[in-house]
Amino acid sequence: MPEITFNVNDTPVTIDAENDDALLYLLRDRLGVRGPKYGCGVGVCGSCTSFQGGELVRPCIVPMSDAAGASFTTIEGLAVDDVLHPVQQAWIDEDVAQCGYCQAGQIMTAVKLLERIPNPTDQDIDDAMSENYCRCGTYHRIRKAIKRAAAAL
Amino acid sequence: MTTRSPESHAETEDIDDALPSPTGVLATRVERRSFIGYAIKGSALAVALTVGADSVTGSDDAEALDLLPPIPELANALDLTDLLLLSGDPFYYDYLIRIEADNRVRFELPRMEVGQGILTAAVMIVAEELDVAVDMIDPSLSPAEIRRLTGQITGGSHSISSLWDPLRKVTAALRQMVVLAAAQQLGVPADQITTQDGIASAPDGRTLRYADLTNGVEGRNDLARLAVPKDPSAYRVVGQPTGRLDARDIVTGKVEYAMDLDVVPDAMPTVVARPPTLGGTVASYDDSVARSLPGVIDVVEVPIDVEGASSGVAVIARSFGEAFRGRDALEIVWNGGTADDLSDDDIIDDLRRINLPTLPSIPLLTKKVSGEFIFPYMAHAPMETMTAIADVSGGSARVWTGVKTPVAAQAKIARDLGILPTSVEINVIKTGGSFGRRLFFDAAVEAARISSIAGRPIKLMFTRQEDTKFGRARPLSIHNVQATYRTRSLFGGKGRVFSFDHRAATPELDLRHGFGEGITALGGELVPFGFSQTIWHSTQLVQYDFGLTTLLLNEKKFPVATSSWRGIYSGTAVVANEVIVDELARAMGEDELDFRMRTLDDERSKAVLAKVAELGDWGRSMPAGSAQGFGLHNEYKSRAAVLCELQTSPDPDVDARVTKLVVSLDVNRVVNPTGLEAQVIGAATDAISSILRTGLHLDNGAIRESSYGDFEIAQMKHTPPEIEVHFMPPNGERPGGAGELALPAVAAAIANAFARATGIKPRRFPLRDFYQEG
Repeated sequence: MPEITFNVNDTPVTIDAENDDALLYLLRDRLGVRGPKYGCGVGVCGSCTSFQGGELVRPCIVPMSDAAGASFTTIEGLAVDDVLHPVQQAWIDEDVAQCGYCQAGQIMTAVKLLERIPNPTDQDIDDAMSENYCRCGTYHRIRKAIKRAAAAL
Repeated sequence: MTTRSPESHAETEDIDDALPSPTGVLATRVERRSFIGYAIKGSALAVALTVGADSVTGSDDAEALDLLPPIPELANALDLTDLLLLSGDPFYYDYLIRIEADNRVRFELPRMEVGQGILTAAVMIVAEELDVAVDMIDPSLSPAEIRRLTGQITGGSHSISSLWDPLRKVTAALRQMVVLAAAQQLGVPADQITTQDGIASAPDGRTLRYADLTNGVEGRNDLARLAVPKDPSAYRVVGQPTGRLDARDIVTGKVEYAMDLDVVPDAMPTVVARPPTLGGTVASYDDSVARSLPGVIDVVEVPIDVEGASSGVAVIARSFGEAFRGRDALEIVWNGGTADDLSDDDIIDDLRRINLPTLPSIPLLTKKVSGEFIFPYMAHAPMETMTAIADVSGGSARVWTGVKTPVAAQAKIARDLGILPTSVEINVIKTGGSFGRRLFFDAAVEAARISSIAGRPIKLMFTRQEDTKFGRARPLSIHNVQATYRTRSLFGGKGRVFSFDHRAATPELDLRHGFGEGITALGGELVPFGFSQTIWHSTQLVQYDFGLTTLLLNEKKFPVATSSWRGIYSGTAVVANEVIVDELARAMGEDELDFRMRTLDDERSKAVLAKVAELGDWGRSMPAGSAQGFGLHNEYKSRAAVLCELQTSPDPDVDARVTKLVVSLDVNRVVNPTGLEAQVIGAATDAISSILRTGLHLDNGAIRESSYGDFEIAQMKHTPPEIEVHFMPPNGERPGGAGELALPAVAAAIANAFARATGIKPRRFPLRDFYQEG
């Protein structure tokens, strides 16, 4: 049985790779990494957004063949030990989450935005965040949290 | 004279006070109002109309106008919040609040957390009355308990209203147990014991932990009705902005939704192949390829949807990815659905046929403003799709799912499997959004069926595509609204509105999720049509003094499954009303604010309206193509007013954008300001999605949309940069409902701003699908 090896949150994992399952289902159903959520399965909603190396990816459309040898960071790997990333802390301080289901993907996307643009304008935030859907409509507080995190970073 | 005054309105609002004294003046008013409300649909209507017509043409103008009978709506005297609270009350004094050995407090909430923040608000109430810190409490959601009957429903924006007295009093009674036990053990009078942060203290400094004094309470506790909760002047938690209790777990990815649970380790991922059209069934299928695929464990045919009227094929696999591949490899021959020729336009035609007529125009001297409004089917589309874990074996079932009506789910699953409700365990799991979707429990019922048929535990997940195409929806609706008026009297003075008619026709709204037991005792399942009338008349009112006011609903059953969508009827009906109010004002040559202020018959609504007009600088100069607009709403014992600023665009490639929202709410008392503000912002976003952006379409028996790519809910770029939310100070009354409250007001304000910006009368929604400027 063919196997592939990759890193998830600095932990190497090896898993049999008989088919072209998308990464999300390997993470959630077989490796127990359940921070990334299923929201659409087609890369539209952003609920599973994670990092592959330094880039944003949507694990629901990352085929297994692309995962071999890669390093992934999910929401569980963002805080270092118990110290929250400033974006996570800003999310708490602005009381952003309602149901919380999309927020892992929102936070991961915001982290990359702030790496790229340390002091984003409203337009920058619109451009970077508009492909992450939030059905509770927390966008207004997400915007405030991004600005708060930008000030803290 | 029988005109309605704001004072009598206020007096009759609190039905708790009114009902116990049937011979009193107050009760007489309530009875008269509600019975006239119903009688008017019969012969009384003709009489009233005649009086109105004669009055208009008569010579003594002022007196004649006063003869126009104001028609009280049922919702003014007895609304849905009253009905829910009255029916749930026998079961409310029943909580688990346990003081654990480590002096932490375990609290089970018999409601559902879907993101609306009820768990945080309830914990605040417990912390307040028990004199403990919020972070000393470990809360969870109660599993379904048959004994709670109508006391375990989350919906209709009545959670805070229904928790307020019972939870405060049960907790206050528990604190009193602590005080009495401490007084006895410390040998001092009870009135000298103080409590703080889980510690009871005597004046000399000796202390005891709560855990050393009581185990807490569990189960029915009706004596607590006599307890005296804390005076609000002593509040230190209630009313203070309090962040979500699980905020840290959410931002670190630790919070667990149903599909994240390991409660049944061998419950395997399951997905269902569903028919191409609604109501379709499996004729035959070949699963030989699917079964040969890696990871596929089993394939079974299963009745689908809550009623089991349709069918599909379930694939159980090691992972959801493998289940999807198995599903895609099935060869299925389908029987046609129940409505394969039916499309939106057919439904609209049918609804036009069944919609009741508006009143004939009063002749002479009167003019009218009217319109037909059409709103589309609307998906709830919560980020977490319908999900459930089920383990059915040995004549019993265990289910883990996010459901707002767990007792109804328990009963339905029991009937479905042919076992007793006492053999069905429903564990209520915090979930990723509802908006009305989780009043029903499709995934739980289907998961139990599949587990029973396959003989193994499973975890069922709807894909996004299934959730959109086979989920429930707010019904499409059409509304004929007509108002008659005269611009000014013959002898000067302001114009008058003589009549206001609203005729709504919708596909039958499915309410068979437990409200039925709550309201008719027979259950909505038995009499859905009459039951809908009760809900309509207990939620709809026109809060303006518009003379003869009649609001009527007619429904017809269609195959698209329905469920309330952040509110029951108001998200559409109130928009139509408020648009006509604006059009009336302009037709009568009056400012939209001034007109509302002089015709509103409700002081609380006037106050919130005045507040948004002031905060939002009503009438300020706006750039071309943009405008301000108002929307008001009165429901759940609460009031909302909104001032919206909208930028439209003549370019069809540029969508209209809400640039600013000013909202003022009067909810009697705010428990958690940050939580309520979040609900307002969320409801505003829903209004943007539903009024400006999106809807579902039925094409030949199938829903056209499949995901967020084509069911285009609001995104970051569509939300206003400026949102200002204001709350009226506490007024001493029980907190009203608020989760759905802002939606109709924001929706109406957007529609009215659109009309003022473009000169177009908004009639079909979402606006951008029908008007280039949207």
